[in-house]
Amino acid sequence: MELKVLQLDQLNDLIQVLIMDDYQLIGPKVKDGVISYDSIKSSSELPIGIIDHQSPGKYALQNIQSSRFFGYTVSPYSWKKYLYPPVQSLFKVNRNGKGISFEVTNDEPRYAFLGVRGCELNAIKIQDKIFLKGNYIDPNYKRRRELSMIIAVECFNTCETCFCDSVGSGPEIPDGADIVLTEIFEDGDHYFLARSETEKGQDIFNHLKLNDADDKHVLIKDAQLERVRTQLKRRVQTTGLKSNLMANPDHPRWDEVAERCLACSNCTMVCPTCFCMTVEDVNDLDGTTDRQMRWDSCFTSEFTYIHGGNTRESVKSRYRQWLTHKFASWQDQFDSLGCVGCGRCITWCPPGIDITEELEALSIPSNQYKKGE
Amino acid sequence: MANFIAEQLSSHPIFQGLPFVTISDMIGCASEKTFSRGGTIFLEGENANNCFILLSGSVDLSIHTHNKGPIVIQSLNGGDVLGWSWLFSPFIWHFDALAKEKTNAIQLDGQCIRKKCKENPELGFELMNRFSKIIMERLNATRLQLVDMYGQPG
Amino acid sequence: MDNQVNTQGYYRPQLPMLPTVFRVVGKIKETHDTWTLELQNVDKTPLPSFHPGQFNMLYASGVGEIPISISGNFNSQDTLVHTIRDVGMVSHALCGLNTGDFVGVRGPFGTAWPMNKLERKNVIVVGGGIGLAPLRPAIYHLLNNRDDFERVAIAYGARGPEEILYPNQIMEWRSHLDLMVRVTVDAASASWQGQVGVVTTLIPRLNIDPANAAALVCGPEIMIRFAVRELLQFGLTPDDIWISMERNMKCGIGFCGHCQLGSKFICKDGPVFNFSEAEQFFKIKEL
Repeated sequence: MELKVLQLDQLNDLIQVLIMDDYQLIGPKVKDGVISYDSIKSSSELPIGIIDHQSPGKYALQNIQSSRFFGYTVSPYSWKKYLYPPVQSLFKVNRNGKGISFEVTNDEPRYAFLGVRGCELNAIKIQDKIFLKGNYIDPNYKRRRELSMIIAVECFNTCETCFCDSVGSGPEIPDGADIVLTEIFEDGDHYFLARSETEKGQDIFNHLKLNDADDKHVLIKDAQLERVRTQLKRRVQTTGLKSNLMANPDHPRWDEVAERCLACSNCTMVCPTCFCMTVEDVNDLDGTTDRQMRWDSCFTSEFTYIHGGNTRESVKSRYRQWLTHKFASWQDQFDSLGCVGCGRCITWCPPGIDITEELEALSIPSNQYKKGE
Repeated sequence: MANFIAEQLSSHPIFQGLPFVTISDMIGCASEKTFSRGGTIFLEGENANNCFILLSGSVDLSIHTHNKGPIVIQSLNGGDVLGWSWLFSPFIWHFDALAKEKTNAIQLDGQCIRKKCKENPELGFELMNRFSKIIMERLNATRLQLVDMYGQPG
Repeated sequence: MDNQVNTQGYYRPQLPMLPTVFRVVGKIKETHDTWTLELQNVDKTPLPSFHPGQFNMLYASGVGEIPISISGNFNSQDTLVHTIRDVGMVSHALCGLNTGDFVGVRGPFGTAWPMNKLERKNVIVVGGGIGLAPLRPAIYHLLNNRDDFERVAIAYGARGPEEILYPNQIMEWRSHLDLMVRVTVDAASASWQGQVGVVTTLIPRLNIDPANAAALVCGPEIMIRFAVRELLQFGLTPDDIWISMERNMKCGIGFCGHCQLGSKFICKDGPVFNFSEAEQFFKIKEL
């Protein structure tokens, strides 16, 4: 659809239209010292003038005294938190007299996600493949996904940890958003370029009086995207990656990284594509049981527990599972990488293990590899 | 008689492919044996003077325990070879061997065979080679028993 | 449940994580730590059909859920049979259920023994310990359709005589003239009249032509590895051998991630694999 101009004061109009349309608006705001994707009622709650600095094991926000709304890159949280919540009730067990029954209660959240980045939309599309495109469908994910609206916002900045371009996940916004916004700050002019990409997005646009953008706007937008792309310094060499990882389960680098890795599972928790979960019973004193699905991580030791022991006991094997899954076996399973280059796992790794660095080291043939390279 | 033994030996898996001259070299050391059900073939601690090429029947190798009686550690059947202690000094049996049912075997006199092996290194090499393979198979099976793969986990 | 079965006859429920309530209608003690449960759907709806080798997720409410292979006859329309070894928290709870108690059931899930690919072949069934349970539906199939197969042999190993699964049934199988049944135990007292030795030692002594043979193998993973090695030595090719794998599973449908081995999800790509495909699992430690 056509590119429109959304003036600064119309950003809040957009938010109000969404709220009036019964969407629960989720967008970026500063909370607990980080950008958090949280409930938003007005544009004034957005992280105005805030940028983030991310590097291996480090995260900090800075107020640069600007009026920019979306100057940060990505939140530690991903939208996964809403589409695939960390704890979900599957059903309740009722024990009445001599019988037992399982009762499903569905929530019907209607989310509008404001500020979805290119890498993040790709992550959502990857999770769609897992939960919607296989032999089995996750009905809760399906319902949330169908009810939700995605308002993507193109990146203006990058962090040191970003590498979306090299894994084919950004910085451009892929198909799949309902509305795509680009925040423009050019010669003192501050406005958004907006495009609706679905009927759902167009319905929202119909409530706003948006002027058409012209060719100059298209040039500005394209130039901004290209500038962001050139800022991306970190890279993953994807050619030959899968076969190399599959062929090197005993590369000396695995032992080295295992010495640094705390198996804390932070990387899997912040990863927007990681989908592993466990199912647990939460028993109440009133005799009911809530059967809950919870995020789990392949870094925990009991993840592979099987009567008497864990099949992946060493940290080496768990790190190897994670990395080879993301970059190799994921390709066999879901026909894409399991990584979108958002860099969260690098930032939130306490010892600052950098997957791009690990992949590069692993690409050196075992017999030529020197420790600490 | 000698013909029967020669026939049985050359068709037994352990001697498969051995030239007939080599086999006939052993015939002088061989005799037919039949053990009735429950019959003792040898006992732990006895001198290991013989090797038994089992033709039919079944033999239990067991170890006697002070509190649980005999524990069977392996069954051998027709087609198997019973005993290799006769090959190695101090030539002592380590287990009890009892016929579980009527068992026919060809008994090879250990001393006689050892002498033949010294005189005929080719026979010596072949026998060593073939017995080592049996020892290897038994060792592998023993290791598999050792890991107690069906055991209670944890 | 008809609307929950897709065109290939596989179970595809709308709510794949929601169990159906079943009642325990029979309980048999198999060994000192293994029980067989017979289950019936509380609302009497017909069971989704299953294929030999598939499993169900059994849910002991308040405790948890584990994958248990179906060990009964797949011709049964109304009763599900599961043989469970008491080795963990959930299996302990399941083994503690009594007639009249309730259990949640989801499934059947996973791949099946390739019964139609075995037709006109010699079939060797190799089981170890409780590994006979997932093989039993395949054995029922072989017996029910005996003319479709050439020679059929069952080689079964257990730790000791008292740990042999389904001993009465094995006796009954022995009475079939067209079925070779070989049983061995790892160790026994002298009162045991049968064979002593590991299950792998049975394989080279089977009176079967390996050139036209196929094998189904299930048991502890170590046993699978050694049995396959013996079968290859015996003359079978990797393509002739199928094995059933076991891993931690929380969902059975490829969502929880726990059962992954390389690119495979044991729950949906397995548990039954052709060995040519499964070979890779054993080449990398802690895969």
